[in-house]
Amino acid sequence: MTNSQFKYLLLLFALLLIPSCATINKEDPDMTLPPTGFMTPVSHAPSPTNIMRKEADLEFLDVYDPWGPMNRHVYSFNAEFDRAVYLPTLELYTTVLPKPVRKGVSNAVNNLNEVNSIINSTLQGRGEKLLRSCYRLIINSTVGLLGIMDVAKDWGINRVVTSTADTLGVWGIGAGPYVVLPLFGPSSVRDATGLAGDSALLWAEMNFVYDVLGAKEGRTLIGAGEATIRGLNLREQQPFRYYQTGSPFEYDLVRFLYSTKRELDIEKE
Amino acid sequence: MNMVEKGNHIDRFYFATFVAMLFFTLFSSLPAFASDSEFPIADPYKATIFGTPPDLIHTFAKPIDTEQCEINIEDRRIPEIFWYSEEFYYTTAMQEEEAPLLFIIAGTGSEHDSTKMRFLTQLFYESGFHVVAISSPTHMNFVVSASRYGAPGYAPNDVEDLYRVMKWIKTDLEEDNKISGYNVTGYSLGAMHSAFLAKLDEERGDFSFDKVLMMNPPVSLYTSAQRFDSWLSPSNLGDKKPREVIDNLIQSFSEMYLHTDVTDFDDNFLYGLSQHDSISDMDLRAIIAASFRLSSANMLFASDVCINAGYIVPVSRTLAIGDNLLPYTRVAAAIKFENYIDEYLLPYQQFITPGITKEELIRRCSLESIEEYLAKSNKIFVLGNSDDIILDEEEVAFLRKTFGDRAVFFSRGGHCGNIMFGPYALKAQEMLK
Repeated sequence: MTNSQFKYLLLLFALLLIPSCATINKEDPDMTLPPTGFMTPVSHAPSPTNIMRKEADLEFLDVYDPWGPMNRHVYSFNAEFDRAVYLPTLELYTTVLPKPVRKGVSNAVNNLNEVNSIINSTLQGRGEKLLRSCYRLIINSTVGLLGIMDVAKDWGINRVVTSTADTLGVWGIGAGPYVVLPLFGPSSVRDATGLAGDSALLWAEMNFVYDVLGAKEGRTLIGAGEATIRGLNLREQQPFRYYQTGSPFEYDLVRFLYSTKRELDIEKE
Repeated sequence: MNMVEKGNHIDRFYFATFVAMLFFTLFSSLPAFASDSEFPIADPYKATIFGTPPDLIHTFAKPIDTEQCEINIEDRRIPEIFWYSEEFYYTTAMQEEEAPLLFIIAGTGSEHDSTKMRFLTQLFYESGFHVVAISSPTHMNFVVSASRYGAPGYAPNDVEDLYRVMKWIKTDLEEDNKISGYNVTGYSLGAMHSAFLAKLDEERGDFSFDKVLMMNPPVSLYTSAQRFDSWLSPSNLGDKKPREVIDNLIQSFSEMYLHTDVTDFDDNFLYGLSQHDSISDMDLRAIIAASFRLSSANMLFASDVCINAGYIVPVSRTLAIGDNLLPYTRVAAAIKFENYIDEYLLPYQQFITPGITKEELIRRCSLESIEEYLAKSNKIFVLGNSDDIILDEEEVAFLRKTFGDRAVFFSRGGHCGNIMFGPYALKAQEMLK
């Protein structure tokens, strides 16, 4: 058996190990929720007067969202993608790779992101964060075996979580309209711009790393593999599951939480 | 101490001590810790909101494999905006060998996979059950995908719905698993449902439950819901508007986030928040009531869209994925539970079963309606807290009187605040042995 055949077999075997449940299909005419013609004697349908009542005061949920209809469609698409592609792939990833290996992957990704933190902490003029990121990059790249182990954290130096979007915010650029990005999820015009900046930075950094490692050929393939691993790592760190809030108003709740958290992230020294 | 005389024995001795210590720190449910059985949060409102402090949560020897399963009812009308709830979801955790099976029913507005439900699934799997975790009939997924009438809150209908899906699941699981008997448990509203399920099963006999455990049950859905409503009214808040309470909470939340070294709103953060000074000045009751109000707004909007009754959404309006739902959130959040009953649930129930009165509807959502059965049925147990905020003294007394020594009460924990606390969890395991 060739090596690649063996790997294929392993993968198949791993797929079989993933627990799965058959769907129970039921036919029951009583359970189809047919229209009954019932109407409530009173209606509370939204009108200019009843949504202004003080009991209905949910103003804090308001976020500037002029592209709401499009955003709601993208949110829905993301949820479908998550369910159909992202989560099943993640399940495969977590089944194939044992936890310590995934931890190593996550540490290595974080370590590569220290460069981003260093640049952005500098641009934000936040010295303490800059120092922390520098220490971490040096310690983890050496003692931490190229970032696979997070030794710095064990020594009490916690990771700095920041990005280009934070820098833009610190510079006084407002969030702008709320945007739901395909695959990436909740964002804003400012944060999406920041994300583009982060991606450009990462692209430059990884090219540098590949140059150092002497990888000349097949960079597209390596890049695709790397992006996949990053994507899966990112999803694994994120406990959020679509529609788990059990609220039909989840879009609004997520929008509020996202916007509030981002304001705080930027304010946070 | 002969064993420590030789060098290699010393090493082994220390090694054993070290391993033992490690186990003690990892599995804090061991006797040394369990003896400290008083729940640390004395304020029942705080206990209800913040739950068990992270380092006191009962831990498990090893994580278990659970499966998410689904039921699909053919030709059911699913509103377009609820495309994601087309199937009914539940969780199973099956033992390899023959074992008894336990159904767990979630509390108000909670799903099969919520934090508490995941904990309970693991807890009872650990004590040897096949476990099936089921969302509350008040959770939107249940309403949309598997409820016969699509309007939750009336216990007899909700229990019929539960009984039906449980029967389907039973038939499905019996094909591939050896099941030696059936049991049912639930917390909060799910505890009340468990009791009604037991009663229904006495008539139908599909499960012949061996044991039933009710964790933190309400006595009357109606009185408990009314209590929540009163906490958002001027009688409790005075001049303060509910909005100000929420603003205060958001304020504390923000301050706490800005001044600590955290980047996520996780359990530890929530616990940190409970320790924050500003919390004690806040109206904790209003926060609890607001959270209940949100669950009930979710439920009634989902129901109204499903049966197109024109309560929140005009009958002529068919909502689409891109539509702004915030105006509906606003009006739904302003509706009291009492209004929901008077203007929605009761008229709808009268439409289905002409002649039913409000008194009868309320009575049938109360444990008092099956008091006689509960008093004589030796397989039903209650585990609760005497400071449970959804019960008044009379209701605690009712439970004690009806269940006698089949009811166990902890003095602290509020409403379900101590479910994940070692002593409570172990007691629950013991009562279902």
